[in-house]
Amino acid sequence: MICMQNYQLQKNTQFTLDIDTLTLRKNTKYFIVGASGSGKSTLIRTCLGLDEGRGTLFRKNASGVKVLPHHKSYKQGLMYLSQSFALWEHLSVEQHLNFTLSQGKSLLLQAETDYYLSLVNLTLQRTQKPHTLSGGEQQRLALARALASKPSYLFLDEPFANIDIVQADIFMKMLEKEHKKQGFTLVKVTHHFVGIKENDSIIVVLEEGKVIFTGSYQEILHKHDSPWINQWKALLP
Amino acid sequence: MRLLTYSLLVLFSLPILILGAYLGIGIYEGTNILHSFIQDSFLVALKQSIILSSFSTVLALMAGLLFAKAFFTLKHTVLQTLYLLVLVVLFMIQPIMILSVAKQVKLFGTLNPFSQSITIATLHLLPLATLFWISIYRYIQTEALSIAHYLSATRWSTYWHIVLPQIRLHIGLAFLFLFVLVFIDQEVPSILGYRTYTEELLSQMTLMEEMQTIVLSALPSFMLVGVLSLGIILGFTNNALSFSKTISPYIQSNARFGNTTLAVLYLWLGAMLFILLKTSLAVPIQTLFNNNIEVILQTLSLAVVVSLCTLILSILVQHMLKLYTSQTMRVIWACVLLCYLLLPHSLISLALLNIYQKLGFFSSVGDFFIFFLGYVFVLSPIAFLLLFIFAMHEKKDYFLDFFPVSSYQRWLRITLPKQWTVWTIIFLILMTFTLNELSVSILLVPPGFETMIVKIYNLLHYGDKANIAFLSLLQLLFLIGCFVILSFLSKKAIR
Amino acid sequence: MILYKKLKLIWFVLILIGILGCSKENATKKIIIYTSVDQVYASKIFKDFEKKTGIKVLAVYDTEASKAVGLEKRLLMEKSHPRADIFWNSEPIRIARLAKQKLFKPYMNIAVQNYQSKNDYDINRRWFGIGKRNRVIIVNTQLVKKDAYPKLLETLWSKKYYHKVAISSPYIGTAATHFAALYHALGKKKFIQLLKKIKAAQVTYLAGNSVVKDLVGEGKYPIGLVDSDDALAGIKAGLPIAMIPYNQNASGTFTIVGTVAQLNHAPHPKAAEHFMQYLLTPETEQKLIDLGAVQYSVFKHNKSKAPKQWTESPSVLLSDLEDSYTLMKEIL
Repeated sequence: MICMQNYQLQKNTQFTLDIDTLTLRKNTKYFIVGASGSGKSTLIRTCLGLDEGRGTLFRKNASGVKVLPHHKSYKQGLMYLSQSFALWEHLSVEQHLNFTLSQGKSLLLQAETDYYLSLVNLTLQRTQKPHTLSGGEQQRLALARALASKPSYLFLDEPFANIDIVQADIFMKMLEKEHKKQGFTLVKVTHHFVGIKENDSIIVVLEEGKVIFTGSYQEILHKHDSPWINQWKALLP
Repeated sequence: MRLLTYSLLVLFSLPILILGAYLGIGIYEGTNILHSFIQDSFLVALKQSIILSSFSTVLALMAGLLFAKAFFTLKHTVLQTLYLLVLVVLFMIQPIMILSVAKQVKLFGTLNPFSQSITIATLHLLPLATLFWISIYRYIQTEALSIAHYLSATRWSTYWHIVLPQIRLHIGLAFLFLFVLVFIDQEVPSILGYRTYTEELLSQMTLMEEMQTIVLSALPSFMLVGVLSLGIILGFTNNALSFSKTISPYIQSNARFGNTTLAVLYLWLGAMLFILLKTSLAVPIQTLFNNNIEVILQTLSLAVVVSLCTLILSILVQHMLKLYTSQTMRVIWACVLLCYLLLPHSLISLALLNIYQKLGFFSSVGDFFIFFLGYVFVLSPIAFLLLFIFAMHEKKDYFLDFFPVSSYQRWLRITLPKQWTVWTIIFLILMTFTLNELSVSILLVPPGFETMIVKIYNLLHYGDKANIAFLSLLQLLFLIGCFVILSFLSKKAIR
Repeated sequence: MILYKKLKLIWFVLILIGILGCSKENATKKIIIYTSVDQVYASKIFKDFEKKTGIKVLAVYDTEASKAVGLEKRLLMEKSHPRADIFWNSEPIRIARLAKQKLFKPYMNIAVQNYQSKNDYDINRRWFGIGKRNRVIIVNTQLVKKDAYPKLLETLWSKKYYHKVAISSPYIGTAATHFAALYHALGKKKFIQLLKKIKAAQVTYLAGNSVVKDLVGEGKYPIGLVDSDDALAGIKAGLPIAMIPYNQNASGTFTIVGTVAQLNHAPHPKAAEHFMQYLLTPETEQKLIDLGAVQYSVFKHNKSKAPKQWTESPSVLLSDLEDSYTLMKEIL
């Protein structure tokens, strides 16, 4: 579990992230939505320990011990997939996965490489280098690499930003499959509605740096006091 | 590791700290030292230096703008690569080599020393000014320009209200940088008979006994460094140095202009090669080799060792700075590097000699070590600057920030293969700067060791044209060879 | 991967070059010489010495750029732990200054009675002269007609030659020595008058004698004042210059003697002795004359070849140097 309480982070004179309380539990899916500039990316960067503010932020490890962000073990089991994937140009698709599955020890074929290649539908491109792949294929490779690292928490920052709705749906299905299999916590910043209606998803709405709603899809349908949420609901398919 | 990082920074800053300390002592000791500043000869030399630096910088920037315009008219990436290649090679040719070729062809005719000095300085700065303009124009936001075009704004109006506000800080920094490059150069104006501040400073040094008086007489250099440091800090604060990769469509021109300019640049380079080759062949090749083989081997070996060590040190320090220090410390580090880049290299060498003398551990190994250190100090800012520029193009690798892999595996399988090309490019660039470094090679050279550039400089006074041309040609061919490799590798480095 | 292998090969080759270049002979017999004599001449003498004795010479040369900090400063900085064995200088005052600071070891293995003048060596045997050159006027033959050649030093400052004369900076090098000697010869009052004339003549001061020679040769200035070796080098290089030794007055032409000394606590004292023995001979001096580094001999047997010359003891000139410098700073 990652827990944030009374946490403030001032990015500049105009914006402050101000979280009263937010808890990211194990084996749960979170969708973080909000207007542009509401602090979604800042929130997940803070949870990852990439940005530092003031307040309470900790993670409970397997033994139930609280670990603070500046501690080395805080990042263990966390994985972040940003919009720039930073794939390794000198390694092939297959080698990306071999490296990850072997904990960096080898580039030779590993037992689960084929599984992940078929998961993201990149089996035919296994020997290709990243610069020869399309944008969607690169994104799938980045996702496969992130999943192959067997994270406890997987943070995705607008993973559907550069792909069409059909690809986004395929992407979401892959995530769902692995989420069920591995049991990691999925935290997704998104503007898309794909997957948001699932009963086990938790929606977190941010407005001007504050969390104004945390709950399920059904619960948000009954929330009326925020103009942004009302407009957002109206656009739901 | 944090302690190691800070210790390394302090050790690296030692010559600057020593110079600063002597400066403080000198100022404290009083006005009779400052009296030497207001002597006519010093003021005249300072005025002449400022005039020379200003004129040549403005001319180089104006001409560089035209050459940069020509670059943007080139359609094919191959032509653009060739253009950048020739600019970089031409910049790497030191003013003293331009002078030796100019004397061969009697380029100057009846021009006075001031005009000759400006010509040489402008020719030397022109390629760099062009490169500056090319990178500055990449920064312009194309959307804003498109909107201006749709609103039927005139070219002048667009330039004044949209383009200039975006790039004025960049232009200012480019001006300062080029200005200082000319200001600290002293060899060529001195050969041409144009008295400069740096030469006057060095003349004063011979008459001064105390280190503090010598350092105090270099006060204008410190002031210049201070101004540029402030400019750089402002640049970082305003994020004005984060160049985008967008090519500006602002410069609309006929492609013929670009092609012609490209041809002119290659003709210029070709002409230099031809003149040097023709002059060398006045003496049998065998004789030229016999006379120069030792200095060639010594110079190349020095260049390899120094460049390799500077590169490794810079990579390590860059890594440590990223991980173990604050933004403030990084800015301080940038200012220290700026000092090494822009202070007269003779002053830095003097500080090192001073340390060496105080330590007293004289030996052959000590001689070579202090010589080697001199090069490392003056080359490090270049290495850091290049690492910084290449790093700007890199995407942040969050995966490795979180994935638990050992540092060794990370370096071996990811960092090394990824950076190999970039590091090789930087290594080659450092090699060219080593080959052209004059001040350090004169002041700190161990007994029995000689570099090509010093030999060229000495022979220039004796009119030994064949040997000068041969050494200059070898150096130029080596540079060209390096940059053929560079342009081949650069595509891989900046994808 | 092929590119990767190629790059590794390039690195390997470069590192090999580095190692090969760095490996030096493990010369047990060697000598370290700091010299301000021009490399073009000195290197030939060193090669000859190496051939005769088998002692490897590791030289540190002076240049136009470094004469500012240069060898004198380097020697002073290394005083407590000398790196050099020999200092071979192209003029006498710097060496006299260093001798005063007890940098040099007396050398006794020489017959000083062979010297023409007592000004050409130190009475305490700490330094010795080898080869002389004169201060001479040079003119550009394309700009100055033969009948208009200046014949006396004093005429350089006359109205006829206003804005036309270039000399090297009078604060450093052989020009400084010359002006110190003029101060000594003329006395303070007449020296001040001289300086005022020079100022009125708007003389141009350049970085060094070779720069003066080059610019006179290129026609930038019609007249210059240089050392005779610079003038002869220019003539040899085909520059349109003529050399005029101004030996028409009673004293003759001012002469500058090259000097050599052995350092105290030198790292290779035996090799240093060999070098002193080799250099301070008429035969070696003749080689220097043949090369053009110097023009005249310090030894008695060559006396007849030299024109009328004058010089002063460098030890005497030491204080004159400071006095003349102060006056020049004030007036020029």
